[in-house]
Amino acid sequence: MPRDRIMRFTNRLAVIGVIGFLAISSAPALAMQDVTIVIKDHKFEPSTVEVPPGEKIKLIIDNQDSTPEEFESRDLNREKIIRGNSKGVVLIGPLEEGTYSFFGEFNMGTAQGTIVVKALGSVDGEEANDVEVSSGSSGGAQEKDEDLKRALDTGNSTVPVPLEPISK
Amino acid sequence: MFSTAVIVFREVFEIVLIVGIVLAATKAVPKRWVAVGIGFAGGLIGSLLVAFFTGQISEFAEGMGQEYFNAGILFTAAAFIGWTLIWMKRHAREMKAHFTRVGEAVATGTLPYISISIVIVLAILREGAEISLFLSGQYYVGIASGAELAAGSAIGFVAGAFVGILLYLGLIRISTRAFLQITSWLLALVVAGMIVQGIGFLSAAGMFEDLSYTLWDSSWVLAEDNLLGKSMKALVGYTAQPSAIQLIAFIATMGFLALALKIAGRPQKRVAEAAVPAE
Repeated sequence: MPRDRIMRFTNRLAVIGVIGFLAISSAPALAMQDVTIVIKDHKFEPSTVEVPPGEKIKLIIDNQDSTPEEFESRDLNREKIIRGNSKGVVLIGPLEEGTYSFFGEFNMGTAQGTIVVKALGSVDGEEANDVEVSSGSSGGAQEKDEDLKRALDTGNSTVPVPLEPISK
Repeated sequence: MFSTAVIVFREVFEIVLIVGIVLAATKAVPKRWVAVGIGFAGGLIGSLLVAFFTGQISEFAEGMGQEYFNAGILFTAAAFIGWTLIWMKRHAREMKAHFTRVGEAVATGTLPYISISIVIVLAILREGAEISLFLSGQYYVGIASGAELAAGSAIGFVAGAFVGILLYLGLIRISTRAFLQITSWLLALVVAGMIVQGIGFLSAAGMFEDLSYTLWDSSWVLAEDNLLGKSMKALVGYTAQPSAIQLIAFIATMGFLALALKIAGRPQKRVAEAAVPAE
């Protein structure tokens, strides 16, 4: 009888495992926008990042310090250790409009930042320059990327940044 | 030195909450201190390895390796604690006898020992890796001297261990009848909490997209960054901004455990005679 129970238990575990595997492998290829945040001297650069609502965003945390850092956000329910001189990826969104703070747990005195989620139509003034958008794309999206970079480089914040997700 | 102590304490605190409850709950298991020692040694070595390979772990699964790894640790720990919990329920009568008549051994088998070791290893693994990464980073950059770091982390460790010992001693003093009830509930909550946190990591890796929306924000009632919030996080997986899938996982786990415990607690007269050898 206990053997049976153990068998049933292991069977159950196996089923859970299979479901988990299917869930992972069937995760759809996601369309995502990349945003890079650099850590230098235990500070985030930029420390304020604006992203559009309702989009999946791929935050690339580029730790240029030689010390590890833990990128953490309670508002976003994310925590991730990033080794010194390396990059880490944090997926966020889709998010509602609002302000979400994040910090570096190993250097909380200096490493603080916020993600501001708002529709890009309402972007005001120079803050638009804080968004660093890098391409992680191929093919047809390339042109759009360049348009976007040009728009950002000119600093002309009234140019609407295209919202179409860049396909992976 | 002070900031080092605080960070080390915070991580150790999370470890001792889990370890303290598990040790108290398994107090009737004879000669378990060997298993405990193996758990601590394994956890120490394991966390150094995890710290060393953090970069490599992160690179798996398109940069989501750390999330899957953490989820894996949490789910495995939850499975072993849950298993121990059900085991305890089935041996409840022997355990009660053990408490009342000193020296009467509980027929154990190897499961509780393996379980104790593994749970301790896993409880130490993540937080231990964080501590070692933090300390090595501070040391190599020269933010703090070796002596300062040693003093700071010693304070953090001792303070954390103190809390753990208090928790353990407090729990094992509870009277026998209430003891099994209370530790069962605590362990069930710990299991559900680990599942919830593990699900959180899977969400972070991009899974359960449709169910990852935030349900509420209770940070104004209980923030996660104070000690109480931290305790509730380690104990019941508290998060101020839970997602739908996390709430579902919590309820489902508690439901599953309640059912499993009910089945395990049924009078085993029909089964009892045949049951002993394998366990």
